[in-house]
Amino acid sequence: MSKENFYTLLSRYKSGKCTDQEKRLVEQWFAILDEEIPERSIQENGVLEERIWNAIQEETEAEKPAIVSVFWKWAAAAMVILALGWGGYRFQSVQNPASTSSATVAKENFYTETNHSDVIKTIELPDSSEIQLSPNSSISYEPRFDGVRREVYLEGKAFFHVKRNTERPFFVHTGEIVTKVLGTSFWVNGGDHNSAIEVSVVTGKVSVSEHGKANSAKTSKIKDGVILTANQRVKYTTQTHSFETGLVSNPIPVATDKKGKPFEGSFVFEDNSFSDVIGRLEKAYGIEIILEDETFTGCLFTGNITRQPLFTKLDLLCSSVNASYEVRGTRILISGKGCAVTNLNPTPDMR
Amino acid sequence: MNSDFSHSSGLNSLPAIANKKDFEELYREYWQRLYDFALAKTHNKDVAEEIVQDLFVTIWEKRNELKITSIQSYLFVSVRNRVITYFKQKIFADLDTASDSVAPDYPLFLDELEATLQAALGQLPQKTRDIFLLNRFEGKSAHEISEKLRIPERTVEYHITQALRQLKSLLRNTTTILVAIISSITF
Repeated sequence: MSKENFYTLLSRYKSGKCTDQEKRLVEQWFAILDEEIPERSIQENGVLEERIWNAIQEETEAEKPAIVSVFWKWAAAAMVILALGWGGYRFQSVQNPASTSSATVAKENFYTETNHSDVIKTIELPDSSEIQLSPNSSISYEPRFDGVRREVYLEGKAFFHVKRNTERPFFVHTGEIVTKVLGTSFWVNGGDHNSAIEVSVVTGKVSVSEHGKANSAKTSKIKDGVILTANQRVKYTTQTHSFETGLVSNPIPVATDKKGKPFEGSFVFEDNSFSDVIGRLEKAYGIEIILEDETFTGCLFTGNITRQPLFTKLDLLCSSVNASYEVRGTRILISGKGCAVTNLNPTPDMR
Repeated sequence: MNSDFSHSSGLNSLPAIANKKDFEELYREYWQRLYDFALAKTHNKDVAEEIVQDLFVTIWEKRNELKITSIQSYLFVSVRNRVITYFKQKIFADLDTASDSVAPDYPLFLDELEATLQAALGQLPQKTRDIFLLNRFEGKSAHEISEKLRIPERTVEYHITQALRQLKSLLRNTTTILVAIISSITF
């Protein structure tokens, strides 16, 4: 497919390992991207100048990239603990659903299933999608489940494995947010309606947005919600109406082989260039990994990192070239001084 | 074409940033051109803002390591790299699957893209094309190009306008799927 090819082209260009032809194509494509810039008044310009400057100031005053990275790892770990510990909470919001949500108003004639037990309950929907409902959680849906939209309402926490059907999109309503599924499996964890709602994607792609735009706060940079792909998660804070995206704590490979089976390739490297190794990880996990410097092109890596979790793989890789990584939102940024170029004649290979 | 550009150019000696004041001056001098450059390429105000912000934060964080002879080309190259990363990420989010290998039809795709771009850019007179690429790819202003090539600024502007006009009509008339991708990811 052309989109994939275009992605390959940009990846190869970014990694600094591409042919003259590829380089020229990207440069020419880039040159014709331009569109007219709308006129700005002097006032608008001034506001913009100050806004960007203030944002820069804010970030440069608290320059602690190392702590950011630790925070993110910690935040991701905490999410899992919360998710696991959640079953122990008393579930109180079933009888008294959030009054702000239009979704819950319509719930009257719905079929509701609640998991009163202390083990996960598997529910199969009429369209053969599967829901693993955590204890003290409930799910409701229209009994016939044959509308143009497949819609379910979740209180609590559940894992969804949605049957793909592009003609009948699947929506999960949780408190104030809606998760639209584009064929996939993922977690939704909405606590009681004072807390945050979390969506983590295992495979495929979902979009998460607020119910009504009337409620959305202007402070949130993301006005219409976010799109998540595998290994990404979003935390929605009800109070501030804000979405915060990140990575799941233990990303798993998402790439599939031709039969759709999960990718189980090995990560064995022998004198592979650092950027190749990173490229392999990027594709296997579906997570964008940015090399801050192009000087990494000269680095080589040898080793077998098949069995390690992604973040351990990165620890090993980074320590081998004296670099460090941090999770920034849904991306991973690797920074370091790179290596002296040892290979003086890098012939671009087309694999 | 673009022979004076390379990734490592201009990282030798410095006007490095010694303090916040230098830093602010650098920002005040360049923010607008960088922002407009990013906006023209991404067509997205939020993204353009983030790119400029992120660039200056990076500059500040690395102020002690940065040794820059040509700060201006460094700034524009950095914005350009960030714009390309933005598109790369955008296409990535749009992919249904992530595969581990280069698709078998990748060489064919390159040829098609080449043909499409050639059909457009190749029709421009050499000089128009060179000026256009200096302006649109390297972010050089008409004034800078006029100094570099020793031709009147107005002539440079003329070439740029001509290039844009011709490209618009050419690309509009080309029905290749590639144009569809190029425009679908740049909405």
